[in-house]
Amino acid sequence: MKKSTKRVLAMCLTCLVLLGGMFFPVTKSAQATDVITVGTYAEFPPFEYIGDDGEPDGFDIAVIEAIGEVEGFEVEIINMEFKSLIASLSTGSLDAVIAGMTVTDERKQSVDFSDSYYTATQYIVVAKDSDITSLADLNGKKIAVQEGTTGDLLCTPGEDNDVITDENTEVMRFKKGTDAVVSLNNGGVDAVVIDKNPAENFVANNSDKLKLIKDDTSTEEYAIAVAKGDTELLDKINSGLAKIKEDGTFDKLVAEYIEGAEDVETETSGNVIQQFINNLKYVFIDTNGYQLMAKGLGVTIGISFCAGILGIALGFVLALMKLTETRKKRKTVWSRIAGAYIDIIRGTPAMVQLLIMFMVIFRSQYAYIAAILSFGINSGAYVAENIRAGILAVDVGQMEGGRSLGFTYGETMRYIILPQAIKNVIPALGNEMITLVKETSIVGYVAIVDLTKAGDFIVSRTYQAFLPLIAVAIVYYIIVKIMTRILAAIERRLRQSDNR
Amino acid sequence: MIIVKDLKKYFGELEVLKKIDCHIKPGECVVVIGPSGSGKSTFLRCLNRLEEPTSGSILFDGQDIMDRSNDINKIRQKLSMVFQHFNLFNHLTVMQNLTLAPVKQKLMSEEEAKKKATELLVRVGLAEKADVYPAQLSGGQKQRVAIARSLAMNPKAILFDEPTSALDPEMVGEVLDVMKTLAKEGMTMVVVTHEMGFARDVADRVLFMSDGYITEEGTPEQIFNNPQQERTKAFLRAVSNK
Repeated sequence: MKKSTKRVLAMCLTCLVLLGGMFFPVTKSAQATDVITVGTYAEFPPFEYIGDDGEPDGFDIAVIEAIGEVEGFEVEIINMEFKSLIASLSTGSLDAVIAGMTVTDERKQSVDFSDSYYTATQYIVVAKDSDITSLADLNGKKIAVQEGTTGDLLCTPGEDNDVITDENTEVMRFKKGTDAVVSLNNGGVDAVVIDKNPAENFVANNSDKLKLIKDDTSTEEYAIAVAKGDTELLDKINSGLAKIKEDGTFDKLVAEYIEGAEDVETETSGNVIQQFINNLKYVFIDTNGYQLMAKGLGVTIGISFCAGILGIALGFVLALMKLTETRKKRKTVWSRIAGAYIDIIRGTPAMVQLLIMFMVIFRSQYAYIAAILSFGINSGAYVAENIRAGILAVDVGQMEGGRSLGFTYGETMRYIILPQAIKNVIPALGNEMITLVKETSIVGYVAIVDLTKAGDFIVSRTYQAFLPLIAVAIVYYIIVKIMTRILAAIERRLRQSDNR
Repeated sequence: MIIVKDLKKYFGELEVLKKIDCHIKPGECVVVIGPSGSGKSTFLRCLNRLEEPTSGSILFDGQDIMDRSNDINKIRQKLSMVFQHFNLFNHLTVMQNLTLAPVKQKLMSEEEAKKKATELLVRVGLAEKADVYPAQLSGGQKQRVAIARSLAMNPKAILFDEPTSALDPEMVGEVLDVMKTLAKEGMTMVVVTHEMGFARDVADRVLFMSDGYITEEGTPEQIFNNPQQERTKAFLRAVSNK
């Protein structure tokens, strides 16, 4: 009974340490500084997408900035998962959302909507040779949609769906509209149902393969969402919207972003090699893919490096905490805390930890710090066990030898045990660091554009999956290769004393 | 030099040392013999508290080593130990093995320690091995380095825990020779060993341990030529038949 109470206590303590970040000062007070934070999901061109500079751009972004200008507030755009947007409004980490969001009764229960700024229609995109002509034809087919969008609702069979009634209709939900289109291009689905403008965009970019089907079954209104009851901001947005509609700014933006969405024609050529080179040029040069990737590479290296240092430092401390148990030959408070930490961190997915760190603890702010902390904390648990194993692998005689010469436990650790343990630890530690670099590829989920996310963006901008993804894979491989080389060199040096 | 009174040691429920009393005088070479499991090594390891005694008192050079207010690390500087498995620091050269403790514990300057180490290596016949790593030495050489390392601390006494048990037979002699010289020079030594020849030739006094007690003690002649206890006789018969 008492034992288990202690264990529970240790676990709680660890949780407290983990949640310590919660009490970070949240430096956001929108009204005071006249900066409003606006969430979007920059994967819905032409309404929002990642521009050439790696920042969110698009019609929606231009609209909210124009409204800010006439109403006298600054706009800070935060890019996050579409599904997180409404939740972030409720928790207060966002002031407003503009993300091509359709007004629905369901959403109205959680947020308040401004006046509609755009009327959209769901279009069907199919292959050129398809015989699908209407929404009803999609019954029993495979349909790709963007997860959580109106297209998703429209195509999912259910009680209140009177068009798609066939239970065998298969709906594939993609994070991004472009992924849905790539899937259609690859023949994985029969049709894509998506908002009118992105649909027109996609078809214009793939005019040799795709065609558009207009079915006016569903029209919908896009509006800006604010937290429920935030009438002050809502009034400002509505009045701003009215003003920019009146002074012609709005129409200019429509012309610039939506109607003028230019077609990027890929040059076609009979020569396979020429075509490949053209493609390469198109994917990496013409659309500034290489810049995005270089930036992403920097982010991947930066996050991995900082998290690695943090992980090693944490792991070292945790290993020493856990070793008090070996020294005292019984469990100690320290070993229990470290044990609980390692247990919890190893028992939960890194992805979930990252989301908790970013959305719960950091309230969707300071994404980089959240990512570094999250990966560092995660890595620390594994590093701790590596270091502990490395220390335990040093013969007990070494400790006795040191102690018998009058060294304290700490001195023996420092001068005798640790220098030998490092040799045992390096291979496992290197392994962990390599894993860490690759594991950072999930930071895209907290809207950080790392190498993987950069590749992802290039896919959605070029509608080509092969080249960008292979390029990303090659860059990761090169990083790991370099790390392996460095590790081998370190190991060789440390093994000096083993030579006979 | 070392006065042990009523020493007891339990490993959990197991009573390994039941009641040990003995007095080791300065300059004396005391050899502890006895069947395995009799507690010889445990007794030796209690003397510098590498093994925590359960009860009793141990005085070294007038200091009670059981007294928590006495710094055990300071005591160990003057009470060295040589181990069965040498316990040389594998990541350091022979020279560094000898100088690490004196220098880091600020007992000597780097130069002094090196000078002293060189002298000691000459004494154990390993002057040319100063810059090699332990992995490159034979077992006998390792143990001689270990003895030199314990001497580098300028100890008042040295504890030897079966120093030749892990050696190939042809290397035993070189280590015993070094120990013999040390004894002749008047170093206070407590030696746990199975080398009866060494006990007979070098010891000032022999302690026979069995079942957690010192059951018989005396000069080598008394113990080897005229043992009183049945247990001692049986042990000596067994080792001489080997």
